[in-house]
Amino acid sequence: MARKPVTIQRSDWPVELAVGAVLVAVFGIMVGAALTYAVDARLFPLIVGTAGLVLSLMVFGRSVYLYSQSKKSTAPLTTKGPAPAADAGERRKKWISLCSAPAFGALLWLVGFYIASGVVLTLMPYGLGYKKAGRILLLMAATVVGMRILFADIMGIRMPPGLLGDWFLETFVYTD
Amino acid sequence: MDNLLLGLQTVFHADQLLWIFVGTIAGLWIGAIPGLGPVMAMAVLLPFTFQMKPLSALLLLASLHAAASCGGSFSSILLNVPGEATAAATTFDGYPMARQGKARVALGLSVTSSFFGAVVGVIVLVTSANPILKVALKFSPAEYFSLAILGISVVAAASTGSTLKGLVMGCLGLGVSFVGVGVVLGVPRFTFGSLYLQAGIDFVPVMIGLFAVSELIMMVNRGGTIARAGKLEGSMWEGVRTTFKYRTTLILGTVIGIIIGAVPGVGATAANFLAYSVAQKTSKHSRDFGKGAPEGVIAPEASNNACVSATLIPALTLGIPGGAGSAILLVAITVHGLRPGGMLFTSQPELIYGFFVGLLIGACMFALCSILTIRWFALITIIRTEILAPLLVVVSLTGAYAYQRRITDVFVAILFGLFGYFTRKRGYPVIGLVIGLILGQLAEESFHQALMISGGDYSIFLFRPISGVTLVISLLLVLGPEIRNRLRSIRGRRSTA
Repeated sequence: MARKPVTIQRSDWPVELAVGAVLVAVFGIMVGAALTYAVDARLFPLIVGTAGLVLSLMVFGRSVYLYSQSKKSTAPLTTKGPAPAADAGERRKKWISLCSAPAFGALLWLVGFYIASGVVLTLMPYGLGYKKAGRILLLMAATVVGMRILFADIMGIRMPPGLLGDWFLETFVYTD
Repeated sequence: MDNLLLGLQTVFHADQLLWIFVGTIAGLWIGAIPGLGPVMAMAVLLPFTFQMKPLSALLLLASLHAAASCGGSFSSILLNVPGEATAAATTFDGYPMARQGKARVALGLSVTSSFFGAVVGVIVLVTSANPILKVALKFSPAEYFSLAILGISVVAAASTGSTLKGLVMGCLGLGVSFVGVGVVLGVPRFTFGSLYLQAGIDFVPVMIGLFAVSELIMMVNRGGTIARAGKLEGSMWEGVRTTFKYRTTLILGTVIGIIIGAVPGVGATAANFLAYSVAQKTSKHSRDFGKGAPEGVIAPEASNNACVSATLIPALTLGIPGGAGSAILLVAITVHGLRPGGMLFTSQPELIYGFFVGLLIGACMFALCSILTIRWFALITIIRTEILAPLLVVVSLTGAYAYQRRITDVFVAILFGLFGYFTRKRGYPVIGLVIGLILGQLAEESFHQALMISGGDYSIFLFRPISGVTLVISLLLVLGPEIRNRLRSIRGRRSTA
């Protein structure tokens, strides 16, 4: 039985290209940096880096070949695009999905655990279309309290106060 | 037999049973939350155990460790986020089952296999520690290196997607493990002047990023619920019954866990993947793997719990920890004035056999507690992603911070999360990166040690029997599918010609 042909769609090509390029760059840097170290320190990184570079170039080359095969396809685009409202909804979800973790990380660093958690647990469900404000607030409170008990009280891990929290504590609380 | 009865008498007291219960409950919860691994919990609890009786201390720590191995699979199955690295292979088939609405079945498979693996592991620990140890001591640095390569090859071959891409991720994981102070000369490498990078990149924030953060991105884009149809099917008891239908897989997974666990330093993560790969290769339904095959849950779960018990073999008999968890147990043993070794079994039989009986009771407890709570855990798969995704953001990234109380770990998790999302979209198995990172130090250390032993002769890796066979198996795992496909297409062309 013939193998099903694999192609890379045009819409996937930018991500495929970016991932391939990043991997080739990382292994290239690994090999380049390893050459500056002493013999024993560079041996294993050189072997792994070279192997990784060769493998990622092979994968990248295969991706280019598959993409060129899909470009040769002359089938016209017959399907209509999604409705504008659905498209806007999908785009909003995509942005929320990609930005929620970095936003939480930035807030955690800046204002600390309690405010960062409160903001994300309140705004993210709302942004994704869940409009029941009472349940959102209840869930937010339960999660923050639960995590405080588990991490801080049971495990003895101080929740991060953030840059602003540290400044506030040093200025108004820990005064001599 | 007399010693076991003595142990039974020693353990069956309210206070000992209470500590086993506390350790079990704590372990199940801690195992399920990414970032809060059993090793961290054991390290935190260790100072408190100094004031306890020796047996109570050991039972608390050991039951926590064993329960966490089971608990770690809960989030693997329900969220595609391993609670700890030893539950990573369970995501391959456990999560697809949850997506099919069969979360209760998958959890039933997991608990039953874990219980079986734990019980058999303890029985082997009690009866066969010395013979197994003799085999384990034949492992030299060359064998350790080959095992590390086998671990990476197994992941590359076992995960869905291209084997070549799996190898790329394995190399990338090894590369990430090089960041920091080198194991050979002790000089900083790939730090680029950064103080954070000098401490190295730990696998916990990387795993949280690659699994939790990338999964929540996918979850938000997908919408709906984890269970595609929005409802649960099947029951936990179906999972329990199904486990015993695949007896060969169950036993194979357990045996692999015991063998790998008895070899000091390798760890349950490698056992997890190896058991999965062997199950896939030997199964009559190998095409179903990666799509919700029960054997894909049974094998790794049996192996990781058997491994937890087996790591105690070198720890208790030689004082060499089989893994991080048994290292902490060794510390607890030493602090209480006990010495690991043969004398421990003869001078304090009530303690050591009480410990073994306690492990069996702990296994029964974690199975019982899991069975009672599975129906509530499974409901996670029918919670809307608008609610679940924000929870996952907060819990996972806070877990990344909690690991070493460093905010930079949160940013590492986010970076790897975004990287993991885009690479997963393009068919790169991110688990390869995790296994490379975990096995990197072992691989490099044993590589250099083997070369020192052989005087720089690379043939040591091929001519030592166990090492040579292991490397050949790795090569076959990686090249085998490709060779098989080419032979099939040649035969296909000949038959049409």
